[in-house]
Amino acid sequence: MARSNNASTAGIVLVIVYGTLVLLPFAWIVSIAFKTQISILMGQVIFTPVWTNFEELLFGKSSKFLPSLKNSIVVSVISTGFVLAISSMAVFTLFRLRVGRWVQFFLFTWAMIFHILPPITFIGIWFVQLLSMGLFDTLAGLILAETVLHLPLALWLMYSFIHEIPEELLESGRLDGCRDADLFRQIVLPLMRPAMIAAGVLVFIFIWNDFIVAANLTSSNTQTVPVTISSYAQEYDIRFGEMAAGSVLSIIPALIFVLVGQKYIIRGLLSGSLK
Amino acid sequence: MRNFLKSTAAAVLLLGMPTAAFAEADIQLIINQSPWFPGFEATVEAYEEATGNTINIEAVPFPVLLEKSRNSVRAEEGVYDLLTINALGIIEMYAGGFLEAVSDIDPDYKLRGDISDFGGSVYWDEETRSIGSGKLMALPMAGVIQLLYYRADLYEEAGLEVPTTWDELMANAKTLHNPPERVGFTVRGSRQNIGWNAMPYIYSHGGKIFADEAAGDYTVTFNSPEALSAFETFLSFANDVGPDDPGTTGQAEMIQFMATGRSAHTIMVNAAWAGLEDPAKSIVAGKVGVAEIPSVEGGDHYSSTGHFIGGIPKNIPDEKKQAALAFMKWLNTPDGQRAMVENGSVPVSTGLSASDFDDAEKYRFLDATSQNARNALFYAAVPERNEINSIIDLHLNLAVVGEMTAAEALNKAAEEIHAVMVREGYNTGALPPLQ
Amino acid sequence: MIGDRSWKIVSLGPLATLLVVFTMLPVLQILWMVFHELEWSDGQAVTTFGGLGNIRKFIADLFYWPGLWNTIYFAFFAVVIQFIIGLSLALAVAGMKGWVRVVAIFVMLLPVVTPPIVIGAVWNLLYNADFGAINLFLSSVGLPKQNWISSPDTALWAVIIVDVWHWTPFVFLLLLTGREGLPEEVYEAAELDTQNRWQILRHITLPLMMPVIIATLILRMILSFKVFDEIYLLTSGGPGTATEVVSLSIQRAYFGQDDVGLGSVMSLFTLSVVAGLALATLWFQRYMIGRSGT
Repeated sequence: MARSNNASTAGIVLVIVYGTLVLLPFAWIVSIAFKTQISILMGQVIFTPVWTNFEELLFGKSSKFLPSLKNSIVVSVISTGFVLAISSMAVFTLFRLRVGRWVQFFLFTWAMIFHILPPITFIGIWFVQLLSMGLFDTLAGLILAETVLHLPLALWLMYSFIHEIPEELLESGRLDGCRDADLFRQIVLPLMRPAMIAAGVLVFIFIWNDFIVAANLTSSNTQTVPVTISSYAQEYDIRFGEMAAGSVLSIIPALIFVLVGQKYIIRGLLSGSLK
Repeated sequence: MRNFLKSTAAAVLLLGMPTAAFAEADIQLIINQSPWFPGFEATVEAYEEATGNTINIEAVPFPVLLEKSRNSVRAEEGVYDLLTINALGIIEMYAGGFLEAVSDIDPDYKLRGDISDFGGSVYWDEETRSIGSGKLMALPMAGVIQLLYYRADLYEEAGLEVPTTWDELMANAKTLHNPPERVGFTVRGSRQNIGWNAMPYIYSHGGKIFADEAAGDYTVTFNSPEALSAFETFLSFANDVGPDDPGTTGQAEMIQFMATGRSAHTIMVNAAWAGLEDPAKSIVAGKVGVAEIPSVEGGDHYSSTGHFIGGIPKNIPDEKKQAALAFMKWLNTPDGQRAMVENGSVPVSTGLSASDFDDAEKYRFLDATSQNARNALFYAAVPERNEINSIIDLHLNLAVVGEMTAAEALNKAAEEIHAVMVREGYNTGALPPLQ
Repeated sequence: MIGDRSWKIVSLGPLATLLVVFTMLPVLQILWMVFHELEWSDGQAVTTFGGLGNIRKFIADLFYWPGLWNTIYFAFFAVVIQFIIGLSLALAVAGMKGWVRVVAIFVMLLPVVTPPIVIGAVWNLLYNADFGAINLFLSSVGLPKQNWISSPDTALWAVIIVDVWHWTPFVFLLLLTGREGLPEEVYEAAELDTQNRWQILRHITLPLMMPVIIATLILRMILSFKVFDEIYLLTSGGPGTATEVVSLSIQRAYFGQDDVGLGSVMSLFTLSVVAGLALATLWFQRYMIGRSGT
């Protein structure tokens, strides 16, 4: 662990200055959540806080916020789990074991090519596919789609970390009679944990915020938070108050997941620092 | 008519619905979230209560409405039985043959006399591939259309008359122009749909995009001298009596200017009316008036429409088509229209007046809505409509931000539209460039 | 106990299955559609060979080309600034412990967990010339108002600022992980050599972090070519084409014009530009390593 250099004064100043720059617009978003629409439109700095935006969001007659929050949590957690499990195994086999070049090309390069394409190019086809599988408008269908969509991101992040594992460690494992599966479980997995957690945090955030795929593959019972929030950005009436309140409420669970992840990064680093 | 409307809604429902005894199939309706949606939803509930039929509503964010509708009509069997389609998708849905025409489900049904045909856009002629004649394709659902908004309180103070010509409007706007406190007028100058906002100016001056769409003459006339003088009028509203940054003033900003009392006039959708009347969203509630969009002296008036129709897909079972049409027919009846108004949604009838209602003050937007619906303009009714609109929007916006002159913008837009029409094999031509 | 052969199937099978099922068809369709026209008639798709029609349309497109230059400009400056700030923050936070560290990370991550559509809507409010908080602040300290997003000269930079605000945490988080993964021994050795902080950064930290840095930069570049949600409500590409980006053009081709052929050519071309830039970055990294090795 590189902890011997304690935080420098310059570093602390930088974090405080940048932190303030981050917080100002964010504080504006939070303040909007407590304003009436007219107060937002007038750009008022001094205002009387109201709870109406939260009330509309949580208890409004046709509000889908709470069910969509539940959908978001289910989809994001399960998809992130799938993405991490699949990509960590794959990246180890692809880059640390003997596989054909064409296997590497197809599974890795192809995944990256797919990642560069904008989702608009394939949601029409995915709709037809999921419909024919009976998975359109189901959480299972959305989980599948989000998993495929974010696998390349995780593969790429882990690819940049998998090479840091010293070959000697794998060699000595093999001499101890480990087979590939054991190498992965006993040596690679512990060492990859920080990378997996960083990738997990980012993949989670991306899935949590995905709008375009979620909006096209779900309907009101299966919609996620970004879809609910964007339904307040209407053509003739951008309801900033509800949008901001929705963001504030959706950031809380997201941050809980992310910060728990961060905690594991530290722990993962500690356990992985044996190398 | 008036007495009919005044009779109680429940009695009318029973009398007006002889088929109520036969329950229709349940249907799935896809619609976008919007300020007029809650009122529409309440109207659907009234229909369900009166008939015992069931309509499941799938309300989605506007940006995905068209794509989800497309996906559904292109599938083996449709997911939705009634589609809410606006100007972005109407021609595409007609031309692609995705909709079952009302005339084919119920050959005897005619569009009711008081219901607007929204510039002919409910009809589609498969032979000439143009609107205005042919089959009745779908019934109008929500009459979103543009109105002239003015500050009635300031008018009274200054002793102004509601304008009927652009010159009168300009004179009034100049009288009330008092920046930075308040601007005289707000145009929609942003690249998103500036063309839609500018078309009433252009058509009322005698300008057009194509020479004669109905007759199949797609000669591009967008850079005619009439269009130029119209667009210069538009630009003078933007630059002489408008906000400092007209180039990014979109619909949200226009509403913002009106709601905060910072603009004396604007031309925007009737769907924004309810928000301006809501004290939680506006400081000018009760102070705004609406009127017919002006024209030139003695000229025709136009209001470009942003209406929604209720389209019935081909790829659903017959009983669902029947059920969807039954609802749309009811919606077009006087009691359906009355329910829309009373629930706070936007009607599609041209025959409504505030005086038909007990609380005439509350419904004072109705007369102007009816009037502008009679002036409804649906232009560039070809499948390439969205491409043409983005060409127009870009160039008009460039003129608003000062990167092009008015003549350059119209010339360049006409040239690009012409290229599209040539590419797609239309009977087209071009005017000599404006100097 | 899983045999080595079965392990390969277990470890690669799920990835291969998902890629085959969900990505082959879309990519094949894009390739096919480049040379075909898709028309809908009587509710049925009619595909005809279109020759170079889509490519001609693409070359003549009004929005794509200004959008491509904007996107490259936007991606370059946004990613460079995010990298500089993100790296500085990562190095600063890497030395922190306890609750200070948790608070710092918490604050840094706020923008990235905010829904992008809300970011676009709220920054649009903030930038508003007449009602926005930024101009309100400027005029309260006696500075003139600015037309941030309505002037073609400043609009793209206004968008870059939002992107930097939004995505710097992403760079920060990856670089922090990369920095904390470095073995401690090299630093102990460096301190014995009595190198100063700058020398340690220049000769030890940065070279060791290079794989993570390059991976992060390439990823950010790919993602900035896909920027959509935040720009959609912020500027929608205007004024003129000042903030048009390729993803808006692709969106317009698919959703607006329902032109799958044109959208496919745009996607494929954008893909090759991004892939080219990514390969150039990788090549640059190899070149630098090769040079420093001799």
